[in-house]
Amino acid sequence: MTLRVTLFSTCLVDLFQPNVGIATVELLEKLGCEIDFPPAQICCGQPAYNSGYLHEAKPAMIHLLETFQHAEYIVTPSGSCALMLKEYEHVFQDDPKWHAIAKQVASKTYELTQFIVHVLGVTKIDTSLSGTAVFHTSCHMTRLLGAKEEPKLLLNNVENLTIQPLTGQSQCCGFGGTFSVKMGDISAEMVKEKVEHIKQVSPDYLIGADCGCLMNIGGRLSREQQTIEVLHIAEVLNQGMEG
Amino acid sequence: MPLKIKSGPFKQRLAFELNNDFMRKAVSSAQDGLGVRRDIATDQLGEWEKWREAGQEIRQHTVNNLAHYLEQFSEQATKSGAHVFFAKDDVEATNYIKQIAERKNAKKIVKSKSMVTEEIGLNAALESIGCEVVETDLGEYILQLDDHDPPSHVVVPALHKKKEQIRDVFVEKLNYKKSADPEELAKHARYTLREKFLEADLGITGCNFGVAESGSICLVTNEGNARLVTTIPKTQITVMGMERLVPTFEDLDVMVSLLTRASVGQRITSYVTLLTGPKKQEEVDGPEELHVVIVDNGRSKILGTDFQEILQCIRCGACLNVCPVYRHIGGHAYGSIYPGPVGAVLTPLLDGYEDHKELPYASTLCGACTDVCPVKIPLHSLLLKHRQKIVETEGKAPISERLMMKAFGFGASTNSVYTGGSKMAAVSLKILLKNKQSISNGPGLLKEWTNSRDFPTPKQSRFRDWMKEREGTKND
Amino acid sequence: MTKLQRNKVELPISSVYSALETNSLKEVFIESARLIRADIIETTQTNLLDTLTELIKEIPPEKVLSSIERGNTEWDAWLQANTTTWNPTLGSKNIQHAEQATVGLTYCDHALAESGTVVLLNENNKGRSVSLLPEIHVVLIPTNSIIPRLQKSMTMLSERIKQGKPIPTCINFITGPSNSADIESYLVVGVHGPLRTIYVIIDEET
Repeated sequence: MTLRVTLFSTCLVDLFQPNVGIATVELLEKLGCEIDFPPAQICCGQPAYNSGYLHEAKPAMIHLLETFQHAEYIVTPSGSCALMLKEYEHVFQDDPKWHAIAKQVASKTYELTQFIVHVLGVTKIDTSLSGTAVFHTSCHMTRLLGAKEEPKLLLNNVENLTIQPLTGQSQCCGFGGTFSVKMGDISAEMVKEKVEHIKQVSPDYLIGADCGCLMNIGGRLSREQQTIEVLHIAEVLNQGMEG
Repeated sequence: MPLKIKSGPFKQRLAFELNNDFMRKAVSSAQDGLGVRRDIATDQLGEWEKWREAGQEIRQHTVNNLAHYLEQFSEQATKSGAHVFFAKDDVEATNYIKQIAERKNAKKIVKSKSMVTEEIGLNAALESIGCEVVETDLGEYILQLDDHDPPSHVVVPALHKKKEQIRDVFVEKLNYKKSADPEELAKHARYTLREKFLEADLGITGCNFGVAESGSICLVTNEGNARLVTTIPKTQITVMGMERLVPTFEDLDVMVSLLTRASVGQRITSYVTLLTGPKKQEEVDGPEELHVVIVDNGRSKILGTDFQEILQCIRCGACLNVCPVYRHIGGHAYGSIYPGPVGAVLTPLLDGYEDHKELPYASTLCGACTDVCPVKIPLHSLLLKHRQKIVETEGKAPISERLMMKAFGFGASTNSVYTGGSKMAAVSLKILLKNKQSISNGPGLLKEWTNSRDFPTPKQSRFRDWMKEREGTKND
Repeated sequence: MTKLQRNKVELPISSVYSALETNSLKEVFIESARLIRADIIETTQTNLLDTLTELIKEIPPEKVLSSIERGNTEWDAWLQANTTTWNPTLGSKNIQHAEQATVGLTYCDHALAESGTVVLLNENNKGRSVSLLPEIHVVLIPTNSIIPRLQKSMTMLSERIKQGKPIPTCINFITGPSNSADIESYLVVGVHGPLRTIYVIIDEET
């Protein structure tokens, strides 16, 4: 039976990393899903919400709820955005109408690897990527959303790919959304340390599951003129798979 | 010293501390070492998550019924012969303590480590009436000798100090003649402080836990100084934050088991001391007179608010030990006696937002603190609540940011605005590319990013454009 | 005082209990005690006085302070000959003795296997200073006084309170010598409390 997946691409993917969105679509289709992409979607509201701007975030959230309430499965290649969607229940707890819709939306929202492993029941994807890689575990996705094992499971089954241990793997990279510019000096020190840890093992690839983190770490790697290639897990899993 | 330890704007403190290479190395190294030991100790206990749940229940139940347990504690402590005094604020607490010191003609005072006594500015108050107050915890002793340098960690207060700096202080203030070897320094501290213990008229301690069912004071320590402070002087004053209670001894077992492992990775500290009342008449050592000063100083205002869970804190410092921000900025940057995640939540509550509005923003909300807290305080959620308050109720957000967020509100909820905005961004930011793939020198807020990282350009062709084209092709 | 409603969380079982499935309380205690840098001497009830004599042979009686309750004539004679006892009638002179003593000698009321802890209830005039001021604390631990962990200790105290019996004014859970990591996180053993702790573990004879 073909699952109809409603894709929430996220604003970062839309504007800065369309390649991740493309990989996500192709990957899900190869895994037998039908993709529904409501063009009205914009942003989950995190940038305003996490900065304390509840009032300004709500219109964005309502717009998203309206856009996605029809969906059977909402899948997004971002742990932090999936988490934000699940938070809507709490945000609208005093609003009977939107609370009910938010609860429903939360129950059918999945981060990409969660969806692949738990809904599609797939842990080995027929794909190959030669080389060594380190995996950065995004904080919102692991600690707060609880998706700790799914990416590792999928990556361990990629042919020819060696995942190397990364010192301070679960230490925050310093992105934190608006933190990266509001507290730019602290953010810089955090990402510098993250890059130092990555350089210690000189991998071919840095893989992650959240574009915010990847933009942050990738931005520093680029500044240091490192040749480590930065890939989203969707891109890795979509490698060399037959369509 | 009172709650606030540094004046001057946050950004200034930050710049200073980020340049402190020694401190940063010391903090990173301490975090790494303590992390390993904490994991070993929590593994030893087994089922750590269940222990945390038990700890959460104990502290949540206590805070939810604080008036009841304070009454029980007070009754029992009084029955055991202690004098119990409820202090509304720092002034009431220090006045009461000064009165005792004067009544007892106590000029020589020894103290064991206590965050709440620093919060209320006790040392300065006692010194103003001519008392000598000696900090006896090794770290606090060092800081006191070094012209009252403030602590930078709730458990390891002198973390930011080099052993050579400590040696220099000992040379200057204690006539020390040996090396910077920590063992020799500690030996000298033992020698100089032993005299102070034996001569002291009055001993002052904090309180890790008050046990309500017996009115007992529980001190969890490693050095032995708290035992000396409560054994030799004839009068003892214990100062306790009003929320630091547990209902029963059985609850105390759970709390001690959690505290020592989360805090310093030990199964138990060298000394866990339970004190109930002053010494009996026929006993020789121990205080003849015992006072317990229970301090409010803003804590009761937190009850019944969205921030009540912070009162569950047992001051273990585990959140400091995992915080990636604290790792780089150290304790002094927070400008408060209470640094790190717990400090960022607690300080604005006790001392207002005016001087501390940056603290809740000095975090990526990564959740490491919430994950490690032995009593499951949702620290990162409380930081977010502060942000909401700062923006909405307190109106303390910067104007430029408010305007930006207003624009965001439109752009993220209205398709036409989003489309217009994204196309404009792609075009205008392209100017900054200068033949490169990414932006390395951005204007305004972007500069905060590009100072240390390259920034990708928004693509002319967005993902949704690709999807639209694809759908179009499909339908052909 | 009314008791409040509570939804207590059922406590998990510490892993010390799995260790105790294959090792005796004494064995687990000794392993824990090694980790916290206590010196360990094993002896029997019969050999106890010989062991102690050997232990303190270089130290004059005025420098060995004991707070052991007098018991049988053999004990009393040994204490008389080899130690100075904590004597309440001497008042604050006892503290001077403690300060000048090299060794403080005490029994423990019970000991905790999980952490290598000895529990001293300072009642019946046993003196807080005996286990605190001297450089070396020697504590006598009968193996039948070793229990698994802190929980039972605390339950016993709770029971006393519930029965309306007073608890001692001072109870110490002591685990090895004093220490501090306040200087550059370097662990220094021996700060304000004793520099050395010697656990004398006494097997009861059958």
